[in-house]
Parts: sequence; structure tokens; C-alpha cells
Amino acid sequence: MNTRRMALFALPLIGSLTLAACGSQGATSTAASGSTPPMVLSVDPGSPLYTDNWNPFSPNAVWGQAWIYETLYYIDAQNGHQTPWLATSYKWNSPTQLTFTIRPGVQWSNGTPFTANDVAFTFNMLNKFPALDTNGVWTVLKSVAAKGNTVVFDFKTPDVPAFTYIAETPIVPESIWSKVKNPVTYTDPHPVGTGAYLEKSYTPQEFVLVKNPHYWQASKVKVQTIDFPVVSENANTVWLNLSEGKYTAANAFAPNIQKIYISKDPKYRHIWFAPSGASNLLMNLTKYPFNNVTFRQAMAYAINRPKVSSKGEYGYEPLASMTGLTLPANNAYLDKSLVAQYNYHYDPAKAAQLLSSMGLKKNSQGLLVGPNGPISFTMIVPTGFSDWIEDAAIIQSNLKALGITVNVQTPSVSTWVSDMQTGTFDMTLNFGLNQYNPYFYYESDLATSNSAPIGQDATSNYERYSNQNVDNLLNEYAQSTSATQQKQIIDQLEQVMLQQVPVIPMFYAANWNEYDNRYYVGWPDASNPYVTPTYALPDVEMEFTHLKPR
Amino acid sequence: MRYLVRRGIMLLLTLWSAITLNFLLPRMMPGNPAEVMLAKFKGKGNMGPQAIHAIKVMLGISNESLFKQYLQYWQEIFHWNFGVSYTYFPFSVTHMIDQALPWTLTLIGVTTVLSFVIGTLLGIWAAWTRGSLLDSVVTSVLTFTSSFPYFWFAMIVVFLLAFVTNVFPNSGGYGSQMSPGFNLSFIASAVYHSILPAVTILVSSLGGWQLQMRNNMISALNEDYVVLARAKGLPERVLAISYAARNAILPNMTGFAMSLGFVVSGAILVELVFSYPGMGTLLYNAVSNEDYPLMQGIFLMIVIGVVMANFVADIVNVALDPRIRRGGGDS
Repeated sequence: MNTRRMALFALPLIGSLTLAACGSQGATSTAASGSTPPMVLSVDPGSPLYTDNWNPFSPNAVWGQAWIYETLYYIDAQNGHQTPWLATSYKWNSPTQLTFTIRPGVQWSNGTPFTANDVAFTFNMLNKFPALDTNGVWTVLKSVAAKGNTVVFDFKTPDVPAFTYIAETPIVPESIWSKVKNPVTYTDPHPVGTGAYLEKSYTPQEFVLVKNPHYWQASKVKVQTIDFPVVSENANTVWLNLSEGKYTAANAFAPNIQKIYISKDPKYRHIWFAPSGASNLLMNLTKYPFNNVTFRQAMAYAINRPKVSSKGEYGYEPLASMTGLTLPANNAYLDKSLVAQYNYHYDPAKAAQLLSSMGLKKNSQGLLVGPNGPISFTMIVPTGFSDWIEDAAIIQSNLKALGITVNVQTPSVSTWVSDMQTGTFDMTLNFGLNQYNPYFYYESDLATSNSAPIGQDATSNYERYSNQNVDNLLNEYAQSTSATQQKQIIDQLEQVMLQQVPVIPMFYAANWNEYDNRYYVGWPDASNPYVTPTYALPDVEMEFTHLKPR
Repeated sequence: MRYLVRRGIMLLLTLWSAITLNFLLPRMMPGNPAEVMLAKFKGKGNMGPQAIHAIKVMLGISNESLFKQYLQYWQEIFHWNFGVSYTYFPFSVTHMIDQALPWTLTLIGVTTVLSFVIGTLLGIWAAWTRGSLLDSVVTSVLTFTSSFPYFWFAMIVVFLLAFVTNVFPNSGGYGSQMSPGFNLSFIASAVYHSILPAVTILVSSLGGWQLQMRNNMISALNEDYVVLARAKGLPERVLAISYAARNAILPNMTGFAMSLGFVVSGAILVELVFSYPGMGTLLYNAVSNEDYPLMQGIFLMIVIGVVMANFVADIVNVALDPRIRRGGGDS
């Protein structure tokens, strides 16, 4: 969540200066014809130097570890498609028992064979050192054991969606990690993995990976060398480097990417800001007037969501579906007739009509008055999130037109987080969860188990939505291994979203992603979205079996 | 001697209150850094309570009483142990400061000394030749350059010298492929990378020293003892250096000692613009990531630096100014 806002030091000046002054590019002229220069990825911020930490379970590890360690399955974050990776197949023996069959012939980069024991060891290590278990797989697991070339996962309670977290856990070699005394503080300075790349060199300002010649699908890996220069702390420097063409690909945010990047070499330079989960407008459902469904529906009509997306978010983050589904990736789940039936759009007249149906009337000063006086509340957005602050201003003016007073406050990020967790807010914006299929989005935002009484920390249901019917649906989904049944449940949850408006999905958060296909091709884009270019595990597994020199 | 003892007691009192404030301030901030940290450690799924507890223990987040924490805090300080950094976990605060400090001491230390020496000399010279064409040109140019907004100026320099003409690198402390070490190519690369930041610091800070020295010097030149010395027929050079400049430099010395103390904190804007791997960038990262242990460690270094520099300045003043020695320190 901290990769997206880099505009703190944005100087409008530099954007316009670069326009005027750069006609020729430095980097493009240096490459000799015939040879392909190494790929240069500007993705790992370092801040400002790398620390020599390759531990795949550490939140502060260098991003390079994602090219070294692998997962059991690759799961497409956009649509949930599964590709067997270190496992060749899996099977639910029952909703509480899952078996993976391990891929034969895979080697660790130190030459020892990869076995089912490594998988069982990795998961049992997460159990022994709970600080490593950041996805909480052991909140549902009972035991993990290797049996021949299979690994059997026994669950305490049925939880089919937990498959995703198990499948995406990086697997480490038992021969090395069993000797590590405390894997939580271990920095893994010479990583041994099964992945497509090896660490070639490391300095605090740059690390280099080379192709692993013994990789189990070596024939698919065509990029020989990848350089990771540390990303500058100064966004302006990143923009200068982007504009100069110093990177093959980057994940930088820039307010005017067309001008500073694409226009300098439109033939080769491209962007694809893959949409990820919907960011939501949260309303505190324990408070008046947000505890009234009609009021929430009125908000959905009153707020000019297209303008928030196109102006507040520079048009980089497209308008979200009111169902919360990530489109177009989740089109298969979308119940179009339902969407047409509710037909949410910007319509202040309809909003005014809904508000007056609640008995709210404007007083002589034009303020909308409820039983406790004029309706007014506070909206908090974290300081420094300049686009969200702009969004809040748009919302403020939309609601003012209806006689509702919104005070916008910008607390520090930590105050914002803890206000959401404890439920001490009226209205705010927050990231939605994006992964695999709509269940995760609905579960995190709507499940009562993720809520908490006001004053106590909620896990992710900050608006405090609670609905027995929804909880039952989510439980049913978690126990179901049938795709048809799962889709039916999702359809019913879509209806809840549209009818109850527990949150208002605003826009899809973007994955910043710029790439130059002068030397390397095969990048994912809107027409071939085979992976989300996050440059993190497990997406790099998939992406780097597709990229190749031109 | 009494003067020094009194100064010494003041030094200890200042240190104690600064360190105590350093302990209290983060704990009085709104918001809960532990929660933010947990949010960072959290994966895509929801962590179990055991995991949350384990991470809190690992980061040293405690639920003990404030007083107990305060005692522990003092104990840790005497062991030069500031805990683990949240942002760079599992690396310790001490490790991160060790990495950043040499860069800042070299770049900011050298430029501070250079800026003071050159600025002061220029000030003396300008005051001596006051009213001349050279004086007005030098003084007004320096006044102009020192009023540049630093960030803007540095970005222009980067843009012209590191982007349009590509003469200097635009960021970093040394060539990205190099490993820090004591060899010629590394040092050469470090010097090459430090030229732009050093020049921008000099340009923007020279004016302050020069102007202050020039003003002090001009008022000293009007003092009776200078008139008397001139009447005695002392050579001009002795008059300028030993009589006027020696007295005029006293306020500048105190300012210099203060800025030496602040060297430890780095120069946040400079280091951010150039992505320089020093204390300023570290502090910026600590603040923007709400990394309280790291912030406390850095603030402690700054406090010690400034307080010690003040103490040294007092001692130097005793050496430079006989009035303090004789007056028993009341001046």
C-alpha cells in the first residue's frame, strides 16, 4: 500500500522542463547493434540503499528474492486462473483435507533435489515461528505432512479459499533453513531457491540476477541478466531517468506519464496500469445517518464517481463497478441484469428524492436537516495522499449541493489506520482487497468476523457491516469446492452490495507499470493480461517465462 | 574553571531532558505505530493472534508501564542499543546509523567547514574593502545565491548538469556497481558523486557566513580600540586580522559550532534530492514510515551532537575571549 504514492516531492517544474529539453536519448544510443543489453528494472525502492536481506518471508527483503523462490501454484490475481508450478496438481479429499502432488525433477540451485519434505518443512516452520505466517495459514491449518511425493494439509475448519494462501507461500530448502536458528531475523544473504534466477552480485545500490541454467523450465526463460538499480528517493530523479530511457521497465507513479515518458519514444515505450481491487468509500455504519440504507443509496447517486476517477485520480484509476467486482477480469462473475436493475449513476436529483423520502428537508439556509439538526460529518483521508484529498474535495462539493456538510481532515497515515481499525470515523477512503476472485473482497469487507465493536480493532471490516445472511453465504463459499455453487454465492453477494450499499466502490487502484519493448518483448498488457505486472511473487514466475529478447 | 564546571552541569541537564523528551514524544503521538507496522507485515490474508503477538515481541513493542519502559530505555542507551528498526527489520537501528553516518559526516562535515572558512574569509575581505566594487559584487551575489529555495536550486542543478549535459550522476553516493571499501576507484567514485551535492550546499550556505562576518567586522572596525591601534601606526594587516577579525569572529564561532553539531542530522533536502545514503535520508525514511526506534536513535545522535558542539564552543570561546576567563563566566 505504500508503493502507490510517490508524489510527495512532485515539482511541476521538472515535468515541463523535461518536455522542452530532451530531444535525444542517452541510453538508446549506447547499445551496440546485435547484442541485447541487460534488462534494467526500476522496481525495488531500497530506501535509499538496499539492505542485504533475501528472506522471502521478510516484509523488508529485496524484491529480487521473488525471482529466486517459487510457489506451489501460480494464481492469476486478476481472475483466479491456476497454473501448476512446484506442484503438478492438487486435490481436495474433503473440505478439510488438501493434497498437493510435488513436481518431480526440480532442483535447488545448490544441486540438492526439491522434495515434498521441503514443502512440509516450510509450512511447519511457519507454524513454529508465527511471525513468519503473515497470511495466517495456520489460523485454519491443523497439520502439514509429506507423504511420498505428496504433501497433505489437514484443516481445523473447512476453508477452501485458504488454498490460495497455501499455494502462494514461497518454498525454502529444508537442508539450509533447518539449520537457521531464528528464521524471523535471518537475512538469507546467499539465497538458494528453485526459481529461474540466481543472485549474481549485490551492492547496496544495485543487485544483479542471472538465469539459473538448471531451472526446471529453463527453455522458457529467455532473459539472461536483470539489473536492479536502487530506485531514487526523489521522484523527480526517477522521472528524469524514465524520460531518459534508463529502465527497461519501472513501476513509478508520475502525474503525466504521457508527456514525460511515452512521448519521448512512442514507438517502444508503453504503459499498462493494470487495475487491481476497488478502493472503497467507507461509511461508519454504526452511526446515523449511515446506518440507514436509503441514505447510503442516496450517497451512491449523489457522489460524482466518474469525476472522482477522471479528475481526482488523473484518469489512471478507472471507475469501479458498484458490485465491487474487479472488471474486466471478473466479468464471468458479473450479474449484468442485477447491475441494470439498480443502475447506479451520478444523479443528484435521484439522491435528493431518496433523502426527502427519509423525511430529510432543507432548512432556510439550504442545509439538510435530520432529527438531530443539520446533517454534517467528517471525512478523513491520510495526509500526503494527494489524489485522495482531491477525491474528498469532489465528494465534499457534491454533497454540499444537497445540503450536507462534509469536513475533510487529513490525519497522519497511522492515525488514519487506527481510526479505521477502532471505528472512530464517519467517512473515509480505503483500499479494497484485490485477489483471485471476488470472495476475498467480500470476505474482508463484509464478514462479521472481520469486524469489531467500536473502540476495538477490526481486522478489515472497518465500516462494521454485519449481516447474518452474508456471513452464512461466505461460510458456505468457504466450504464449497464446486465452481457453480461458488458463482451462485457470489451473485447473491453482488445483490447485497447493490441493495445494501455497505461500502461504495469508487475506482480500481492501479499497478503503476511502464515498459520499453525496444529490446525485450512479451510484456503483459490490456489485450494480453496474462499476469499483473507487480514484480512480486508469484507474478514474476509467470512474467519471466514469457519475456524474451526481441 | 568554575565556568567550565557550571557549563558541564548544564550539559548533563540538557542531555537528560533531551533524552527524556526523546523517549516521551513518540509515545505521545496520536495513532499507533505498532498497528501501522503490523499492517506492513501483514500479507494478503489475515494474520492470526499468535502471529500478531510474535511480531510485536520481535519489534520490541511492549505493554509495560511507562515508567518501566523509561528505565529500560536508559539501560539500552548505556549499552548503545536502540532496538530494531521497523523499516529495515531485522537490521538494528545501530546498524542503520553506522551505515549512514560516515556519508553524512564526510559530505556535510567537509562542506560545513569549507563554507565557514571561505565565507568568513570573504566576509573579512569584503568588510576591509567595504564600499569597493568587489565588495558590492561579491556581497550581493552571495546574498542572492543564499536566498535560493534549496530544493528548487538543487533540482535545476541536477537537471542541467546531470540530465541535459550528463556531466555528473544524478543520484547515489557512489557508482551503483561498486562495493564500499578503501580503494582508489571507490573513493574516486564517491568524490565524483559528492560534487553536485557539495557545490549546491556551498552555494546556498556561503552567503550566510559571509554576510554575518562582514557585518560583525564592519562594526568592529568602528570600535575605539581599532582607531587607537591605527593611531599607533600598526600595519593594516595586523589591524584587520588580530584586532578587528579576532573580535568579530566570536559570534560566528558559536554559529559554526552549532552547525557542526547539526552535521550529524545530515541535510535532509540535499540528501533527498541526490538520494544520498546519509543520515538525512535515513531520518526522512524513519519519519515517513513512522519508524519510532530509528527516529529516536537519530534524534539522540543529533541531541548529543548539538549539545557537545555547544560545550566545545563554550570552551573555544574561553580560549578566544580573555574577558570570559577573567570575568568568571558571567558574560
